[in-house]
Amino acid sequence: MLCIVPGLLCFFWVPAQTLYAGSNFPLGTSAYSTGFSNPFSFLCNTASLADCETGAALSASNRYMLKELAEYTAAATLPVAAGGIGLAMHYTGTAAAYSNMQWALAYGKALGRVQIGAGVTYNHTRIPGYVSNGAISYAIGTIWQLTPKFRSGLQLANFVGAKSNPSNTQPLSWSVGAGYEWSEKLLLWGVIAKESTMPAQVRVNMQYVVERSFVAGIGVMLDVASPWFSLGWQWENFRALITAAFHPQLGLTPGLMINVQAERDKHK
Amino acid sequence: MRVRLIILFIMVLLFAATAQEEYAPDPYEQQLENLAAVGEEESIDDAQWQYLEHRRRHRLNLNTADEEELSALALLTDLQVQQLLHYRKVLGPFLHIYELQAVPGMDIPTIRRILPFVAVTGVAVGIEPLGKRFANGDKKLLVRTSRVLEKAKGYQGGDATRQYPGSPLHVFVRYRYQFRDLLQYGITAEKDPGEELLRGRQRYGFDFYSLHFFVQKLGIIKALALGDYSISLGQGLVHWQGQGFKKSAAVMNVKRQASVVKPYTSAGEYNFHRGAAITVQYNRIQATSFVSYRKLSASVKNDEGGAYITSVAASGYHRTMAEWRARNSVGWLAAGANVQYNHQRLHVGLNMIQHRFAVPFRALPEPYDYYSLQGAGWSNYSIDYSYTAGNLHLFGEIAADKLLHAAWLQGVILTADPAVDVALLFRNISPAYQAVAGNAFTEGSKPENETGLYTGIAIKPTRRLRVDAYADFFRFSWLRFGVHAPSAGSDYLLQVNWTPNRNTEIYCRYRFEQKGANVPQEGGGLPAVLPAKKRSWRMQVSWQMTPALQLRKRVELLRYSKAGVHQSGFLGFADIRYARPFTPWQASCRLQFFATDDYEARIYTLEHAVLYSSSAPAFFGTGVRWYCNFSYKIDQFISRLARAKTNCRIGLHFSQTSYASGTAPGSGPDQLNGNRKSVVMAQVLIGG
Repeated sequence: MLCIVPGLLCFFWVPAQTLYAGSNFPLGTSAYSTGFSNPFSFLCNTASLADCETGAALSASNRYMLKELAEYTAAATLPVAAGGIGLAMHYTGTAAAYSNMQWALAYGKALGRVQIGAGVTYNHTRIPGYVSNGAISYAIGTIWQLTPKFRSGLQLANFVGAKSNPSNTQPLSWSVGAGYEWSEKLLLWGVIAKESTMPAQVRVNMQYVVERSFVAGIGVMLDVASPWFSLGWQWENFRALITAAFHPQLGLTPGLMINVQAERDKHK
Repeated sequence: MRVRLIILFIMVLLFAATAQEEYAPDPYEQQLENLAAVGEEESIDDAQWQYLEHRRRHRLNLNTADEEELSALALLTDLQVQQLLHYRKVLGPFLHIYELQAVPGMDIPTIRRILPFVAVTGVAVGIEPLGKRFANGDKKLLVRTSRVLEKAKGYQGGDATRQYPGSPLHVFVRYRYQFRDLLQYGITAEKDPGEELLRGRQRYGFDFYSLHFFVQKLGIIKALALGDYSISLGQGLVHWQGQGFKKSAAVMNVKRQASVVKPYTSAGEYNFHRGAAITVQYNRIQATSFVSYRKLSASVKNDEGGAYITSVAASGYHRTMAEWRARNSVGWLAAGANVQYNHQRLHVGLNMIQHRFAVPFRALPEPYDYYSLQGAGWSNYSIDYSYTAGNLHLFGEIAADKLLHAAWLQGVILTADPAVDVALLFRNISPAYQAVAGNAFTEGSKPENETGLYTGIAIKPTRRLRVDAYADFFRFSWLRFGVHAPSAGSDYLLQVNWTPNRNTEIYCRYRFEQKGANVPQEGGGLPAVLPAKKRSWRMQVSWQMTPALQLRKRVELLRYSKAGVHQSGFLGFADIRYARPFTPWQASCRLQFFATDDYEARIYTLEHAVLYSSSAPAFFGTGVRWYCNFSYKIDQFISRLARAKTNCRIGLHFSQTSYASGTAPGSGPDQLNGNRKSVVMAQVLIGG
């Protein structure tokens, strides 16, 4: 099993490359809405911090049910006078085979109907006996509030190639996304993300508040024809979601996400 | 009249609520990108851009404009032109520009597109005699220079036959005098990178010069061109030197529209005539005659059968020894005529053109070239026609070449409903039919060896939504270059435009194209011809955030498949354009990322540099590109220097493309060291 893990990582595992790649956020997260955002949203687009609320979240998933590909992400957001800041930590792998740790810090600010954001990550990869190195990369993002219900954004990561070692230039990433808040209960959104060394990823998603305490989401990663869904329960500021994604060849990825977020100021 | 005024007042209110200030979309963006993809040529003839800039300064009066002038904008379909003229004829002159909304077939986006170039005035402008036209016109001097900062192999010494003797500087100079639409003359000179200037083989100056003199509306003479000019006949089956768009998201633009004679002012060194052309008009009859003699750059070979042309070089590059030898090596005499009868909604035209080359063409000993142009003389003849009946516009052309091989093109444009437009175009062009400079609405770059049916539909279900779609089925009954068997194909496009508010335009486009392509067989032998499929999906958002600031972004995904081998491509860009009204400066920047598996998955995008300079390069490989444009008006400074009111705008452009390591941009002598290509361009435009 230890032998195939690096191979799997090369082909299917994206987050180790950059946390801000535009599609490496936990399922059930959207940056292109106001009502459906959560503390992980800034990983999708740093500009979403411009109207963030105080919150914290934790996500865990077990990719393809392989313990070597377990992922853990924690994030917190805090509105400040001139925008919002976000902090995230991501860990994947096992200490025995392959592990990757990333720290992300970002800031977002609104300039009228345009939001802008920027973030940095420190990315440390360790493969015992092979390599142990770290690199700093950065991302910039923007979100345009084109209509009261429709947002579109762009996030670029690593445009000046960060290097963990001279022969390893981290891939740059370009992602665009858009979200249409059909109503307070329904959000339709999508993201297209391309990293220079990976095929383009396309995600189309729908999130729905079934009733006050029950939320659901469904989507598909079109590039690998991989559907996912989420079901959650919310009570006041607390929300818990279970997620599941199915890859046609590699199988199931179950996940769990919990977040606590201050109630949105509707006058904002 | 009273009712009309009330309607007009309501329309003004409605339109004012939806009008955009200073919104200048690229009206031909997708057409130009598609044209580049068909012809695989990067540079773009700026004639239409010049014309639109002229119209921006001297707006077309809708109360006096004729069919030809309206068509020359290339922003209206022929049916819209006819409907506008009919409206004016029935209801009298327009009272206000907003009355355009009352013209059948006109929608808000179309009106917005033409708005910067048209006006409604009650004053008819007189036609001055020739002598008076030489004063008070616009004088415009344009000097543009650019260069690639990295040194290409062609400048680094080594193999003398592949070296460029000149500097890597590109220099373009154009002077033009224009008195409204009545008189125009000027000179154009150009030196391409690698060509010499004022030394060596070019000791007398530039590599390319072009002079033109063009006068219109001189009594019975409708147009007279001396020097360099272009000729466009019928629907392009026999001859078309103007810009001819092909399939694009402007699904209704299937008809070729242009004046027969136009002055030639571009830097392209191939697609024009040199001599004289005259158009006279008497009542409903218009007749044009032209004669031209110029030299073509062509590769000429000799064998026991004598000299013959193997290929004509359209690039205009005369840098290496081989290119220099080909320069102006073949004389080309062309003469032709067009007679047309126009009465109300009927148009019938007779066209003929004859060519005589100093050196004959000869087909290559390849099956695909079996029907190509042969001999030292060639001729083409055609009848073109159009008729408008209510909301239906029919047009077409029937042509034959010297050997009586036939070509036929028939189109229909129909406004089936105020919200639905339909276009149909059928073409049947014999594999043996040849035209020296034909350019019709076909799948191939030239009108030959093609049978096809194009159907397009534009639906406007709501004011905010527009759906454009086309389907084109075509068949090539003989072999083509790179396709060693008769083949067939299809091309589909669906584009949904959503305009959620007056400042935002979003479109999604899906295109699928399938046509035959050679697939080499293991162990050699004849290649198999299998379908090559190309699917592309694009989304673009344009947002006029403030009257001065426009933001745009695009993402495009492409997948190419042939014989089980797939290539994918991705391109994304973000634009910022700043042009505040009544301020002297403008700026724009673009950041772009592209990543394609190989050349077949290349993606084209239109780029603007300085005024009148645009291109639609193909991007392949992996890289990041950015460019910045800046222009500044220094009218006061120049006016003080010249001691007369003079307009002056300087333009600067810098672009840089960084390819993934290991990829060197360019090929052959143009290949650069390293993985970066940087271009700097500067332009001064005086007068206007």
